Amino acid sequence: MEKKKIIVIEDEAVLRSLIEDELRMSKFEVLSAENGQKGWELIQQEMPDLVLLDLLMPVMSGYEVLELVNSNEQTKNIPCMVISNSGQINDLNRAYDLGAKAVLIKAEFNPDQVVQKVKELLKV
Amino acid sequence: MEKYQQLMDQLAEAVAENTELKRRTNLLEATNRKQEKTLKRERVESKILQTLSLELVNNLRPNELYKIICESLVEESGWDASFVIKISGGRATILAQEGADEKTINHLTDYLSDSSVFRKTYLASNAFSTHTAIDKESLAIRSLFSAKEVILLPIMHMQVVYAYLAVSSKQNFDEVQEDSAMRYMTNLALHLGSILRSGASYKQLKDQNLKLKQLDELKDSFISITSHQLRTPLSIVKWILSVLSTDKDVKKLKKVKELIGQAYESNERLIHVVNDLLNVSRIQEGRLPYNPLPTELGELIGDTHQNSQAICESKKLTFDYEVEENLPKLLLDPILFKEALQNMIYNAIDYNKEGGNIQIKAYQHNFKAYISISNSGIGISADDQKRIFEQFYRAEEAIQMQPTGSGLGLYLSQAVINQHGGEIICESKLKGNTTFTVILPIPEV
Repeated sequence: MEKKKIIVIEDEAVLRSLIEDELRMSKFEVLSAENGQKGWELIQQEMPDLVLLDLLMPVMSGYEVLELVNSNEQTKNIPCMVISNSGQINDLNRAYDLGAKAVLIKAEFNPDQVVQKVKELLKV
Repeated sequence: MEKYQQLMDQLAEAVAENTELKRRTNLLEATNRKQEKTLKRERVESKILQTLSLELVNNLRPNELYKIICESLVEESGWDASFVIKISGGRATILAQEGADEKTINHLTDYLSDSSVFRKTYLASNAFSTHTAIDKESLAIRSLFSAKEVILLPIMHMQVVYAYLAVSSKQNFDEVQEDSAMRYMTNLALHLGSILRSGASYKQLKDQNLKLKQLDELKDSFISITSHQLRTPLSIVKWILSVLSTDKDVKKLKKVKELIGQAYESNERLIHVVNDLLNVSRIQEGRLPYNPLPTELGELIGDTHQNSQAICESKKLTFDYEVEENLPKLLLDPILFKEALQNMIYNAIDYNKEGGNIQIKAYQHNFKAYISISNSGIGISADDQKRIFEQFYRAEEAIQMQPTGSGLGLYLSQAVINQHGGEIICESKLKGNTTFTVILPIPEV
């Protein structure tokens, strides 16, 4: 069976590599970007099965990426999962309003729990 | 012959009476018509006042208001010309006018500043009417404004003169007309003055409000940024330790695994404290982000039970919970309520005896939902029970057991439960069991 492709957009290098490793260990193909701009370019290029992204990032925020993904005919069906450290419910609701399928707070979830949620969203 | 004369006399009398009656009737009718006209004019004028005041409150630039008033006075109130004049630095300026021809305007512009009558009136904040003023002064003003009647009134509020309102008519007035015109104009000028005053304070308030809004947004983003900045390194440590603890090779090294476990716990507590601090700062600002949703209590309690498993195991505590069947869904803010519950559970864990137990029971009674959290712990004295919900307060026994506690847990829990329309009750005695009960309203279906 073909491997599912996931794009991770996260500006914190340590967190990005930790989640990449966890995902690869669960047999996913993973590509990553360090800001929203590069992330969006990667999404258009690779058309992944799921996007995992942070909200507060330099150059282009996760909010903007969500908006772009959901307003583009080709990418609007790609499920997006937000991992953020903002506990503000307004920020979380905003992410949902912009089309995020799930919103997790990094400080409340372990990497393996995050991967678990990814599997749930992809129904694997 | 006499009778005929009598009749003729009577007839003459009757005719005379009739003529007199007719005369009186005509007079009355004339007066009536005049009064009707005045009444009609007054109705129109009061309507103008109403409209003007609504517009004026929204339209706050004085010169624009003055223009509207001048236009209104000429077009609707029947004055021939209307002006708003201001004296500043010794010079008189026409701020607005309507109805005057170029010749009159030029004349005013040239001679207003030098008019002693006008200046006298202005400086004394007096009202002036050509109808009632002494002949010399009346003449001066009438020639100044090229009109037969002129009324001058200060637009002022509480001793502050903003400008003068002048209206002129090319026709002479009679007593009644002058009286009613004077009353109306005085009313209008007063009204204008107070509106300008409230316009000024309204503008002040608007500016203040804008500043406050900006400060508010700054605070909002401060909390957002702070929570992000603090949580980022905390999540990094959390994730690293989590991955390490599940590493195959680490699992083989018992001591290493133990140390990692402790570092992980410690980091978790720090995360919890950061959450508490952020919430406390939000409570103090009155901006706790409260978003209630229908929630299944059993699920929520189950989650918190799950989260506390590791620490209970390490402290050799037993933790049981029992949720009544068919407990209706409650309106709870998922993030806040969980925090509140977690705080009380941490207390039950921290202030427990070795090998002790924790019990949670959720049930309904008398249209309310009850959640009781009990532990076989160190207990709380009657005096301390009165103070434990205070910010930063810690009982002596608690400090001894947990020197690094923040004293914020119950303060926060209570604030959150109160926000949900509920309350927390404490039952305990020193060295004995303690039960905290949360009582919540059950939403009507």
